[in-house]
Amino acid sequence: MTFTNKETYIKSNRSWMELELSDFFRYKDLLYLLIRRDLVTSYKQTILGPFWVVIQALMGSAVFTVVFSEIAKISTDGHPSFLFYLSGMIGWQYFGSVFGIGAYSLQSNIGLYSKVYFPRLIPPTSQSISALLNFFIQLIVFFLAVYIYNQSTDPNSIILDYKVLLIPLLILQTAILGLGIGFIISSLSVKYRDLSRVYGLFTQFIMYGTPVIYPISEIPEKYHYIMMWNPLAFVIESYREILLGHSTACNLNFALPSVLVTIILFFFGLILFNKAQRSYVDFV
Amino acid sequence: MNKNIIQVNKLSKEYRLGNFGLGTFIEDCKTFLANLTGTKTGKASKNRFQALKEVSFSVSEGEVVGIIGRNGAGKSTLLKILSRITEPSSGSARYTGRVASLLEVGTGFHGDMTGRENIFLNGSLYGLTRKEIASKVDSIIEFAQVQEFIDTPVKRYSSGMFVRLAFAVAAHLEPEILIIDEVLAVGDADFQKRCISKMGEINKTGKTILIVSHNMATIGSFCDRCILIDQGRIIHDGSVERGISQYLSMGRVNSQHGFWKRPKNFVSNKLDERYSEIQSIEMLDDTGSQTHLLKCGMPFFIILELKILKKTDYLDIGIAVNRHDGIQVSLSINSWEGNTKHFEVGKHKFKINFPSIPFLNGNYNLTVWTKDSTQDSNDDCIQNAMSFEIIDHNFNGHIFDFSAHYHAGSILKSNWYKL
Repeated sequence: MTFTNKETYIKSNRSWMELELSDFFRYKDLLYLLIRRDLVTSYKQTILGPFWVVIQALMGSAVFTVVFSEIAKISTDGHPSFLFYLSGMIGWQYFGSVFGIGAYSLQSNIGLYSKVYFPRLIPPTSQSISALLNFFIQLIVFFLAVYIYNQSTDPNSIILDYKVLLIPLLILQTAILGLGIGFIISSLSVKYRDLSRVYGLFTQFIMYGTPVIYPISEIPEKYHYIMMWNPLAFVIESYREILLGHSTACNLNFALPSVLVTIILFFFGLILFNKAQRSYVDFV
Repeated sequence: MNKNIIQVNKLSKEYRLGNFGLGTFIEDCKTFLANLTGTKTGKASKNRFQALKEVSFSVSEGEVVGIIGRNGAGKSTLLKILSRITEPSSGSARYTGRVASLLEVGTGFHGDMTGRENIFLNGSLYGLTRKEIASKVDSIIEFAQVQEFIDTPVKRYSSGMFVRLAFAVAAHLEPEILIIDEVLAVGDADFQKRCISKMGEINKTGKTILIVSHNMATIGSFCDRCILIDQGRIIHDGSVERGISQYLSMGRVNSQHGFWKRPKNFVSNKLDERYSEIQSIEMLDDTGSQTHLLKCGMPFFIILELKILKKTDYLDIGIAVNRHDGIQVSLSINSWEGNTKHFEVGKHKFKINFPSIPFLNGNYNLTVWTKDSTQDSNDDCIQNAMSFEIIDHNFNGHIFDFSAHYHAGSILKSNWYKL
């Protein structure tokens, strides 16, 4: 047995900082099995399966192209508008799903949490990793779209190079940021559910406050300092830099505040979550 | 062997009653501000309920401890704290080794996954590694007797198969400390028997077991020690026999005089919506006077008052008799005797005639319940509503001394013909 002689000490009002990370790593097999469960069961009993994710991304980008580019005439920073929106959607949708996972982590796992002890961070972590399936499907769709675009115009108009290898870093930051904000909402809505109502509103607010459907170059230079403190602005613009070749905000001026805010939000969320999980089953 | 494996020290748990809303939020803010400024608010809110009050005990390695008590006594709260599902309000507990707590069987099972996949998932929830599970998977499948279906999604399983598989995983966790909450109450009789013997096997390997049950026969046959909890406090810790008899005599507090009346605000179970409420139960002897002393072989009567809150077509009313050690020795149900299950809203009164008491000398408890036969759980249940005693034996007018045949338990009425 792997931890036969481990001593466990239960008491009230433990420090906010005790994260019990050693427990987390001891349950890595659970993490693996939960991810497998999500992947195996995610498209059960659907006819089109993963194609819904493809359709969702394509339809979304098509609608944006018509509404924002054709009708509202919002600039797409010189990028082909359909690809511009598609690249924005890929980054945004992964953030959205991780944010949702975090925001409902305590509430949606009550069935497990109220019956057996295991590190409470495992389910949100595994779900965030499983959500990458959709992300990668959409990324493949994007690459296909780029290929088709290059075929129909100049073969070298969009070149994907070594920068693609930086995508995992962006994924990591998105996941940490989404979980961080999500945990804050989840922990604070344990006793009073008002905040979980705000979740939908909040998601929209973040989306329009982030250069998802517009490029940051559309914003007057003097307001850029505000955008610097929106950690997601840097992430979305970096996806554009990597996938489409150029953007405004993929530089250190944006990167440093973005990473800093991400880390602060994540630890704040983690501590609240850790505090809440200890006795939240009494309230839900 | 005899070192302390679990040490519980002045464990308390407080719950807040009522709904959370603006009122409790304002109260929270006040407490928060008081904590910030360092002033003590002093006055505790009235809406608080102490589920556990400074509970202390220790368990040695290899012991099997039964925890008993009435509903709401604090047993489940204790188990939840020991299983680290919630934390205590004050006090502490310490234990060595891995704990597997079975507060439910089949936690985390996913219907779309096969039996085999679920074994791995469920095992890993309890902290086993994939390697450890792989080494046990064959004996789990064998114990659960689901060999043919092991690669079928569990949503196609019968409920019996599902429970067998879930228990099989639990029984193979091999933790140092096993905590069980009433999970033995599932499955058919044969499977329950195998569960009990499996638990015995687990204990023989020196594992410590804590078990909560309302089944006194299980506690009595299986445990080395018994902890009786009432209103959040331990009121007995030690001999199993004495613990059980003290627990059963608590039921007697309800009535010792052959009469039980529903106390105000009495809640027997947590149904949101019930069809019926048992108002009063009265026991009469053959002369028609209220009593708790009855004679074997003689008739007796129960007068039952029932309030129907919602019209129903499926109401069963059951009268059960339990022996002093908790074993149920008889059950009578209205519909078995051909009576209607249809009831209109309002008060109903019944007189139930039992023509001949088959039980021998001793103490018994009477339980009355109602159940809508389309539902899973009892509608209302007055557990051990009253106790009664069989004092002497009058069988067909002859009085015998049956004490020599005590273990016979009961007398079956028989007619003898010479051929």
